Amino acid sequence: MTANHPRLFRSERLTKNFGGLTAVDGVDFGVSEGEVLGLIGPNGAGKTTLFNLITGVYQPDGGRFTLRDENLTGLMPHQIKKKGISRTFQQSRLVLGLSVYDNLFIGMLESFQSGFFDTLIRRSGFKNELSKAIDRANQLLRQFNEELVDKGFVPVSDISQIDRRRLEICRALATEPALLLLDEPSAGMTPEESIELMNDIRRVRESYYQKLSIILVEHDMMVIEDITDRVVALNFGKKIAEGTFEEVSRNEELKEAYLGK
Amino acid sequence: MKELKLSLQDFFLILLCLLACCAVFVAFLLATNLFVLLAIIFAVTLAIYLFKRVEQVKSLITGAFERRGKFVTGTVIAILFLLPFVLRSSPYWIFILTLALLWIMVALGINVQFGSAGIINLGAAAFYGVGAYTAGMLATRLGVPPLVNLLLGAGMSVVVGSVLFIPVLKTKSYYLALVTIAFVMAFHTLLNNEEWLGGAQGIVNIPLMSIGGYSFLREINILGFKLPSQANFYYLALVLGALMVVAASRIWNSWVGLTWNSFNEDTGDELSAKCMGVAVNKWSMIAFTIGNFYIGLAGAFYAHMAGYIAPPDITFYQSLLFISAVILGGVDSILGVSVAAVLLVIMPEKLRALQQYWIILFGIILVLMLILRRKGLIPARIRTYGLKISRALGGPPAR
Repeated sequence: MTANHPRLFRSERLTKNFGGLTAVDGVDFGVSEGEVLGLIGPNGAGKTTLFNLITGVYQPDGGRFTLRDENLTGLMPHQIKKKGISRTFQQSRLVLGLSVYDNLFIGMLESFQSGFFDTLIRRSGFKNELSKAIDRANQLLRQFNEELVDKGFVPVSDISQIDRRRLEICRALATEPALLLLDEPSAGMTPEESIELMNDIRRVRESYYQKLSIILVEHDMMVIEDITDRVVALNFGKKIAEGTFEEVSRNEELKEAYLGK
Repeated sequence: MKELKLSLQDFFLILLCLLACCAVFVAFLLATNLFVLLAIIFAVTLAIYLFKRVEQVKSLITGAFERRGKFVTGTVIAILFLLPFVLRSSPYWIFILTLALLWIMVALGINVQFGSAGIINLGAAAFYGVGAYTAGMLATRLGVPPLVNLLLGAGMSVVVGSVLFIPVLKTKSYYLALVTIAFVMAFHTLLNNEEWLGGAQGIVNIPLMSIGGYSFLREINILGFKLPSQANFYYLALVLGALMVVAASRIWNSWVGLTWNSFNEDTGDELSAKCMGVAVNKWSMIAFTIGNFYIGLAGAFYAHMAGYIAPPDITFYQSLLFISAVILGGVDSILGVSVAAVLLVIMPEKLRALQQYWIILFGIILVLMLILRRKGLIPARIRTYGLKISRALGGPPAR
């Protein structure tokens, strides 16, 4: 099924060294349009480093990566966002002192038109944009938790951990990416909450972003099995397996990496 | 009928509160007995404490203020306009209030840099000095009119500020603090040693503010009252200050304010802001520039009010006082920093009896505030972009 969809993202021999340690070692993989790719591996395998490489947080020491055949290697994070790659982080990076809406708006800032003139003098242009932004925000929030819509102006420090995790994903979605990177979104959640979260993400994709591709880093294999189309497994920075969940879960090296000899 | 009753009640409450505050304020300014002063401070603290504790009073009053925003603004402006009338026999206090207005401008500038964007600038006094010295030099050496000097002083402050762009963008927090401290100290030394900048004497005989032919040394005769010449400076500072407050407020309540908050080192997150597409470097420079413009303009005004500017006015200690207006008043809170700025100007004047102990007291207050009330006197509120959101819907509470 996914073989028919055009290749959206390619990583070619991406490599990152930190002093003597090779965190990511010649990693090759691709993501098709509309595909959900799982990225698994034990802690320290290089998954987050890989995310950092393809969002411009780190510059690779070797290899390159492309989006729609455009070489994005060497770009800065805000430029990569413009090209269409967005992400969430392992530890929450929401601004706790700001409201729910404000955090979402941060993801939309780049698309706003009103500049200093509209801010200072002709407020009507700004007010227009604001109400559209609130509508968009509500649309996104509604998919994850209806209650959040009423909490738009509540500071993030006052909402639950689960809602914060949802908000973080909403914020990444607010940037309207072509490729969304989720870094352990269900960490700390109960299995039920994890499934709920994944269903929410599924719903959002179906409603708004049919072509949205996702790379999902997860340790919860139930989630991986449930939602991903394909899986890539890393260990010590190298790709050791790629395929469907069934294929990858039979891989000996992977089992050894997780469970030991 | 109930609507009308509610309106009248609101207006009455607002007038009562504002006039009471004004009366206490003027009484505090004019009192000379130390015990009376301390008694007033105690009474005010008690009133604020009771206000916060008694829920009915608190909700009644805050509700009124929130509902009748325009009336509040109008009343405040009227009171500020009438202050020189009330103080017309104490020109010194009108002068001090004008100085307080200048400090509000500086505090607003630092609030943009540090409060909103998290850029710590402990060299603020240097930028104040650049504005003042530019105005002084241009006026005494080249005869540039004072009003133009306000703009030129602010502009020069911006230009000099660009020297620090690289440290602002590349260094963080403690290191940037050190760089800005070094900057103000180096600037101070430069002023002391360079003869063409007036040396240790500074620049003297700066022509006082005048607009067109109107000299600010004239008394004002208005509505049968005679206001001292200090009132001229007060009114000009009030107009400029009001414009600057409105501008700062609108900028805060917009995408610009949010952008700065997004990468604020202390309260925001620079990495995720960048990943969300925020051009952090560009907006850092903008924040730094706007802040310096505000600070420089205040400095230029001061030069044309005091008539002279000298190196002792431009020190690291002065910078600390400026920035404490933001820290004590409420980081990223326009109202908070304004109130703190006024207090920081007035308190040392009133508590002169304490003389050198004022610094100790100030230090104690600063530490206490940081421990007990980190968010400042009047903490920043949730941004509502000017929309009226009732508290029931979750806002705007304090951040």
